[in-house]
Amino acid sequence: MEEPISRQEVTALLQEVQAGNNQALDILIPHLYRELRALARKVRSGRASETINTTALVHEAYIKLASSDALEMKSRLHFFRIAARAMRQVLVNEAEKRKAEKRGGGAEVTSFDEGLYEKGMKDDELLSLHELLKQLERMSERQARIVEFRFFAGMNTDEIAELLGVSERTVMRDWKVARAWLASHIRKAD
Amino acid sequence: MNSDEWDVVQRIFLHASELVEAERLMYVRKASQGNEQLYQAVVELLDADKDVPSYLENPPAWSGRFDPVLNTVIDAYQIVEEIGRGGMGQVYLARDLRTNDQVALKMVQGARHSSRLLKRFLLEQRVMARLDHPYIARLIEVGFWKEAIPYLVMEYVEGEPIVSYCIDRELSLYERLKLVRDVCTAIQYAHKNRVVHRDIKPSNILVKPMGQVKVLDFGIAKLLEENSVFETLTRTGERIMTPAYAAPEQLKGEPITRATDIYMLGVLLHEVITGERPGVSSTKKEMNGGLQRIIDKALQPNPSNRFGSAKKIVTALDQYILRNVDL
Repeated sequence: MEEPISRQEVTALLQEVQAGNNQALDILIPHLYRELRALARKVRSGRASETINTTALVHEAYIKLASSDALEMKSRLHFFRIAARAMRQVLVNEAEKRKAEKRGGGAEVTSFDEGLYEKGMKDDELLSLHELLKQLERMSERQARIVEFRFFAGMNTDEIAELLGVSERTVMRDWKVARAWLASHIRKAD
Repeated sequence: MNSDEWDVVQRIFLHASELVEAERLMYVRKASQGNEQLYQAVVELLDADKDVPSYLENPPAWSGRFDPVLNTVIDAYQIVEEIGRGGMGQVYLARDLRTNDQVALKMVQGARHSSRLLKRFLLEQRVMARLDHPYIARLIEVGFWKEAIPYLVMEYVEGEPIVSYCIDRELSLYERLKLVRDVCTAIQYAHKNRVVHRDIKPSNILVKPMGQVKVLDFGIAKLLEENSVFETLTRTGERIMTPAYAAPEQLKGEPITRATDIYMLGVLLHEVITGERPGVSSTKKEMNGGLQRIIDKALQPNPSNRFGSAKKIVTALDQYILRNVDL
């Protein structure tokens, strides 16, 4: 198993990312992927009806890995940007795994992840959203990113605006357009 | 759609969506200048915008309980990480904020709050906290977090479960028997203090790197069961046990005594020697007759036919070792 990454390393890498070093990005994503997956696995169906969403999960990871006074606001936002990507991978992989398990055999599979499922969203919906985002990316990279930030890391409009260096109004317009486009394609698929 | 076409579509869409409903289509018709494809694309967006799936608006969520994790403070203890998960709940490595000591904190799932239950729980704890033996992981404290969720704080043991310890290190038969002998002395000590373990199994017996055994979860099954902490258990009268290691009287719901632990020690002895529980392997491994007799006596279905005490197993093992010095 790989060594867990330290806060200092995360801080340094985030500063690199902010300086435009994309290699740092490639190093961080797998670490976040593992962290989020581990956190997601702690979610279990239980007596209480509490829910945990991706936003809360990403914040847990942030507290563990990146909450540091040394980080500027902009670097913090880069953390969420990377976390959004990692979270998307976690969810897609889990959904694909469950689908494969269902296909695999008649017996009910009670896997380690049985408590992990999206509320109000089916695996197929998540997987088709993932595919649609790839299409949207080719039409407008920025819009696809905004959906990813909002959806998989729970970022706010003002956070996204600051991260992308655009106005909040632009973020809201992009979100509105992207949402309508996704909805129209989801409907077509039905 | 390429990005240039998309630019046009979205511009018309955004403008149209700001108009009152009645004027939209007329505007889109005009703006698309006879380009039917463009017109259709915008109309599709306008339609879809009225009926967005709710899941797009909210980040995906999981239902279920989110375990207290990472740095959560439970009374005087700070959770560091999850180290295990069993039928009763999760076990965490935690730090005692007063002493900075590492402890194992076990959260009990499915518990019900009642002040009567709390009192009995704390009373039991006093009995178990009396156990002070080098081979027994100490129960440090029992608490009710937020007066609702019971938890047990135990000595944190860094070690490996006994069977995998023996296999990984390719221990000799003598070394294996020595470990089981140590477990038996710990059980004997507890029995003298009127505590029955009732869930002796390899995962509850850790061996520290230097070879010291530590029996975990002493009496905890009883503590939980008798206090009916589990709602389901009170309903069904079910018992907390591990069926693969349970004695016949446990499976039948008959009284549990020290002899129940003796049975489990027999199972343990077999597994430590062979790596498997009795009766699991189809190809019966050749077991030394002397050892087989010890195991058979511990595994007698009738509790009164078993060894009368854990000390008697110790004696039997010692005699066996003496007679077979060249092992």
